[in-house]
Amino acid sequence: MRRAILLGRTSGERELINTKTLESLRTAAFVNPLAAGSEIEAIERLLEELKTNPLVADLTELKRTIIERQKVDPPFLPMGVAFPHARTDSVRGIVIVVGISPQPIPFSVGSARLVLLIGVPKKAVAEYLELTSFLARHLRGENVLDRLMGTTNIEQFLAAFAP
Amino acid sequence: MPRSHAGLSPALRRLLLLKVWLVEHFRLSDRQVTLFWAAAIGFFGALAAESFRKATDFLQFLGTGHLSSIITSFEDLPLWQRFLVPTIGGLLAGLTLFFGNRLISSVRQKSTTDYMEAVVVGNGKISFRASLVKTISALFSISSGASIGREGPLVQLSSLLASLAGQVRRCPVPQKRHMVACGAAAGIASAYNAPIAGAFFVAEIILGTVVVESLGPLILASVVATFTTRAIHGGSALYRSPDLEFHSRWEAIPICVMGLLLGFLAPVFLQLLRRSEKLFSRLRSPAPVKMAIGGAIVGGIAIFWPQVCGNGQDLLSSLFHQNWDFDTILILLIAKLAATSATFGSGAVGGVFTPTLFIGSALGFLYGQTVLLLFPGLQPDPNIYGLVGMGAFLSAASGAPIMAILMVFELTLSYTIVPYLMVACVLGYYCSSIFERRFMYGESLERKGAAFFNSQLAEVSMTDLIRTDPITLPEQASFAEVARTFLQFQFQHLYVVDSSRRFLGAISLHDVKAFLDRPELETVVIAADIMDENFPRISPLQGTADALRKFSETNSERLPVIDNFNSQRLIGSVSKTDLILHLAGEQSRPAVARAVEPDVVEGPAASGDGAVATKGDTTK
Repeated sequence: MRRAILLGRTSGERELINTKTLESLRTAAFVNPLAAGSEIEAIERLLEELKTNPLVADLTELKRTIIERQKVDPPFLPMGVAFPHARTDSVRGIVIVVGISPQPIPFSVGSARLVLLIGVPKKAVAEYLELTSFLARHLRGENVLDRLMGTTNIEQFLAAFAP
Repeated sequence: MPRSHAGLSPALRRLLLLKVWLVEHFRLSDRQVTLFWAAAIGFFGALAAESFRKATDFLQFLGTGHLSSIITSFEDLPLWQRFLVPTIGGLLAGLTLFFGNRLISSVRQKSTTDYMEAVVVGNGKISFRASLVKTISALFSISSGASIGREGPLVQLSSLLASLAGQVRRCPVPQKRHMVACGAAAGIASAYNAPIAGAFFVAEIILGTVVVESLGPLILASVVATFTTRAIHGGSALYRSPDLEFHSRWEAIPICVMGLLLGFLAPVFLQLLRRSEKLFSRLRSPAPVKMAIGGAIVGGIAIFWPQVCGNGQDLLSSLFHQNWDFDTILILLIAKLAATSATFGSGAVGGVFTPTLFIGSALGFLYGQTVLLLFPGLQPDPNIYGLVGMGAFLSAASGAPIMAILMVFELTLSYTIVPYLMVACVLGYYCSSIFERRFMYGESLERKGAAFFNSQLAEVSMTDLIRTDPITLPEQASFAEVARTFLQFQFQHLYVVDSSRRFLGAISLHDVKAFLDRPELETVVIAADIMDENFPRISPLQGTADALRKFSETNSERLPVIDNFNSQRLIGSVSKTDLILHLAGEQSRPAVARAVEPDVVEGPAASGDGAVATKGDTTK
């Protein structure tokens, strides 16, 4: 598996991430401010960003799958990060939309300020786990969410992970 | 499975990583686990065989007052005791069968009493109670000097242990059968100090096939049993002969002729046993009376020739180490034939394997001495003819030339005779097969009845291969739960089901192994996120060919089994090893079916209901 160094951190700690996954993060759509009054609204708003994405084969199916997944056990980090996502063949590659909302959006399991919508092809299990692991690990860091809230594009957003 | 969101502790996570490394590098599949069980069966089978030997020695001491060999014990007895001991022994053996049979027949059992039947046509289950009754009966017969092999009960006991192990493991029918086969191989290897022949006896005669999947565990069971027996008794060849040497290449001709002659005589021997059986069956007497009569005949012969007592092992040894003349060998041969026929025909539990070895060997000796007389220029060694004759006769009587060659080689550890032995065994087998269709062991199965055979065969289907306890996870199981389950069980795939047990997909250890040490995933990812929804699955309605094709689509050792493709309800899993063993067994069935044609159904065990057969098994 081809890997690339994404982030250099202090004291020699370095984060390795797959090149494909890194690319999907760099090309992620970015929405700030995300204006939504509910979980469904937030998902629909973020999906709009994928309307013209060539990696999306069937947006309706992607939406259906994500909402189905949310019903089973919505992934959510306690500091206010929601991960609506799905592994589905309605996408040809990993697609990500980052949504930042100044006002907390009510999700079924808590209020979210950062919403990361992710679509992953069914066969890309390893990439999916790598991406989810990377995001979940870094979002747990101190003040990370506060730093991310001020970002206005995906470059700033990624840079905020590694100050 | 209860759901838990609790994360893995660092220690557990390290343990999990170590396990994944071990699984990746050593890949312990069902095949390797089967090997472990085969070794255990070999060890305990040998111990069971040893216990039986000790028990017969003890009973022999009670009956004769001697602990030496059975022949020596009888030689030292007064004449009236030579007659009385086998008679009383036969009576006690018959009473055991008579009352044991009554007790057991009151309990309907779905298991069999015979290890060959359990392997070939049964479900791998051997009745414990019925085996116990047969073993006790055999103890009385053998310890009182009956001319029958104790190897039969030894094999029966080790097969019983293997069957019990198979039932404890709750493995599918083919695995259970295979474990019983391992038990049989261990019993034979232990009885004759012959690990190769033990494995091939089962492969050639019982399984009817020599494939690596089945032969590997058989070999391991045989070898472990042999080592265990050698640790107790020491390890030398049973019939090691003095240095053997061929003085002329022309000796190949008389040896080939001997192979052909013995091929003609083996069916006569089998016919003699059948006639004896029929004769006893005409007696309208219960088993104790018949077996007492059988014992009395042996006792009557033993008054003049006590050498006929026992299975013939000591007699065989004497044949090679004492310079008996032609007349003595001929008389002992006739006496032994009469004693064996009487014991076998009366229904004593035991085998005729060792008596067959003696008869073949004696015939070979007689032939060798004749060749010496007619062609002194060849300088033939009658010992060689005795050993080759033993193999050729065994091959012709059992219909298993490979086993016969290996058996004689291991019994004698003489390589000099092997090329001649091979030719004689093959010629004997081909010649015998002109007249004999069922050989020594087809006979045993025939007694069980064709109807029973057919019904059991019909029952063997994909359903028999299903293991009904697959490890499952609910679709919402956390990643921590997935990791913990992989740690707990030896599977490469975990099956994901919904609340109605509908099969949703499988999680592959290979896919997730690199992420098992990531605690951040434990609450974000669930089983449904990482399962393969297109994982191959099979239905019991499909055939074995479909199952094999599905296995070829994945590198998994197991496949999930669903009730049908509409409801997709998970009912179990099937293992590749079980399927291959099953197919290997199927391959041998046409041959068995031919041997068990439904033209003759006779004998008290035809019902196959687990009642004790008042007939000796033919192994042995």
